[in-house]
Amino acid sequence: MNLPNLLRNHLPESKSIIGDDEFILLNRKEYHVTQISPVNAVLHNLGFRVSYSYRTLLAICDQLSTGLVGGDFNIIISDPSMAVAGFYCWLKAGGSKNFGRIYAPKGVGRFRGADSILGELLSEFSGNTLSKSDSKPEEQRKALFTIVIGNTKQSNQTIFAIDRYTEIESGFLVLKDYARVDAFDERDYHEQKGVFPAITFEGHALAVKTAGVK
Amino acid sequence: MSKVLQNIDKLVNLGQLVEAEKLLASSNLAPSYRLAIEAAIALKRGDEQKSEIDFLRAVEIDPENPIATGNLAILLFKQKKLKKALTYAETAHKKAPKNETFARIYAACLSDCDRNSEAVAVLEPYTASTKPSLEMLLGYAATLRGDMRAKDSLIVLERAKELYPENEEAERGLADAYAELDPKLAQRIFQEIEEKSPGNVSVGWNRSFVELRLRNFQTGWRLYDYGLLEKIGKIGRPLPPQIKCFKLITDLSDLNKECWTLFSSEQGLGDQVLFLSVFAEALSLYPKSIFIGEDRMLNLVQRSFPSVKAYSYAFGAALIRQQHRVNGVFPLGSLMKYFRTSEDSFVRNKRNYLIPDRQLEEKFNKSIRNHAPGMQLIGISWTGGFWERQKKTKSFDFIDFAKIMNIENCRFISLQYGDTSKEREYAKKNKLPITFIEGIDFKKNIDSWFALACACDRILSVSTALVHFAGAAGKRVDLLLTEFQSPFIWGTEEGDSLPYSDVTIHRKKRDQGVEDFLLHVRKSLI
Repeated sequence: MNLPNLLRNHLPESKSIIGDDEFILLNRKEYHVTQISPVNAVLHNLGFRVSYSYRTLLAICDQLSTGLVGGDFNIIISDPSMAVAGFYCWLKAGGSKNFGRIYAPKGVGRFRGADSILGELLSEFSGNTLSKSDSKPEEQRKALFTIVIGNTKQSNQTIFAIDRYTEIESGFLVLKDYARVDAFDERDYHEQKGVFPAITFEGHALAVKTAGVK
Repeated sequence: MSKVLQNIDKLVNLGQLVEAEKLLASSNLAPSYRLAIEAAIALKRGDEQKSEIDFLRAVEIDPENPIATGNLAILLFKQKKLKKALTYAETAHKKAPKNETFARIYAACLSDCDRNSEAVAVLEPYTASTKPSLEMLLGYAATLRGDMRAKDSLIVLERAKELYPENEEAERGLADAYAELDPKLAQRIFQEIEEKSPGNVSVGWNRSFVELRLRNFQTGWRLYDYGLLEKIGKIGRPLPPQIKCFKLITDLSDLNKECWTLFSSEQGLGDQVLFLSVFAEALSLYPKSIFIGEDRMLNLVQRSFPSVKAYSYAFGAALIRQQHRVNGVFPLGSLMKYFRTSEDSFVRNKRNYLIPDRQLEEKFNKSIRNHAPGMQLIGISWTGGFWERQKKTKSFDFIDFAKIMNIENCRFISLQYGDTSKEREYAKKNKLPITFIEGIDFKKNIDSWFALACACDRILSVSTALVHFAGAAGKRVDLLLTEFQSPFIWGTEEGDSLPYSDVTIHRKKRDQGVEDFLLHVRKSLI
């Protein structure tokens, strides 16, 4: 039994609890594992089980990506564990055969076979993914809006994502598993690079960069 | 009302809100009046939230405050929070019995709480004058209808038409009322209105049901599409907000076969199942399609239509930036006008199109028949409808149902959704041959509920989604209709239903007692 369930038994009926192994939130409504959540619908159809905090990260990606209306864009994925987030951003940013190139130097892993419209989307996503170890936006694509998605479980993952983010002209950065108690020097590295992300309750780091604004 | 209050009230009504605030600041009004005036000013400024909070605070201090109670009742009524408005409307009405607006709001609140006879009593005195207002007459007619007094309602509407011959609303009210009692007459009135003001979507929407009931499908389905328009709103065919970002398509010729079409389910479960009857035909023409619907229906749709992928409404929202590969949303109900244009087209296309979870069905079959070996299993449902009035017009009392359960070699299985605790208790006390299945929420767990229905030998049910589900699976169903209005698809006659192969309609006559009717139905079960 996980912590939220253990606590649930001790709470009065009027109190609610949501959370997972890492965080607990009291007296907030549950929106992420419901039939109104597009993230939930996509995860279900992809056959992915992810943590509650990953869901909240995808919900943030949902809105940030939807804001990118039309046009080409890049997505940089630092780690295969973030491939779902990469696909989700690509989907919500309007990815297609011609728009939205993905750079995943460590690969994106394998998605479960899907058919119908989701199969078509996954096929185009894979077709647009470059996964060689030195993959990064080509010169002519550097000015495009770029989404950097990273994990911070290891310091080299953090460094990779921050470095990629500092190279882009406009876009946003999302980092999962930020602010872990054992990640000693992550903040130092960010500050050294001039990146000051907002940190959410669940441990997501978010930063946005607009072209022309230093 | 004090002089200061009168002056402030005047300024508020004139829209001179800053002056009103100044006068209020310099006055020494009691706190409840001060709050009520602040709320009224906020309301004038369009801040309904602040207004509601301040009115509520004023009422908390002085529950009889006439400014606060009256305005709060009107505000909540406009926000369609009728149950919440009831207390304030009652106080306002009692404080100012001559005020027709308060009376109408109070009556509407009572009707919303299913207290129709009280609503009738509230409005009746206002209709005694030689020429009551049209709003009062229409409101009175509506409460009479809600109180199941259709004929009295008609008399009031005829009077309204006589007093206000040029007003279309009275005529519309009349057509709506006749839709229950005499659909052919209603059709004529609707046609007359249509001639006078062609293209009126509200009239067209209401008329669609009459035309469909009378099997005039071409006109009926065409007008049925009016239900998708913004103007008709929630009482029509509103689509979920998650898929409103897509182009709404109701014309097959607008579909590009190279793009994906999102066929969307709509309305209640019964309608969803009925409209699925034409889905296979549409898919054969437009194979590049997906189904978008409620989560609880997805497994069933996926199983029944394996060539198409079924997704939830929320998945539609995930495709918001994928419009380049999507034609748009096509509500399934709008397919009917292509594939079910005549009675003959229904008859020709009768087929069983819903497939239950066979493993679940087998599981239920085994467990129930273990307890009732060799017996005929009859699944029953005695109440249905979402709105209170629907419940009243569709349902039979379980106690009346119980009277026909004494059939040799028969075991009844409750397929009734919702709270059945009273019926369980009654059945236990009276040792009725009925089984209630524990632990399944029939409203949420559609797969189990449907499998259980399919495990029964036949179904006996009032007009509820169960009839559509069982009918679409080819089960033998006896459908019980009251003497009141029933869904248009059941037409006006008795006998074989139009959309399903083995659904028989039993219609209670107006002058027939419930017991007599049910005993008559019982004969067909033996």
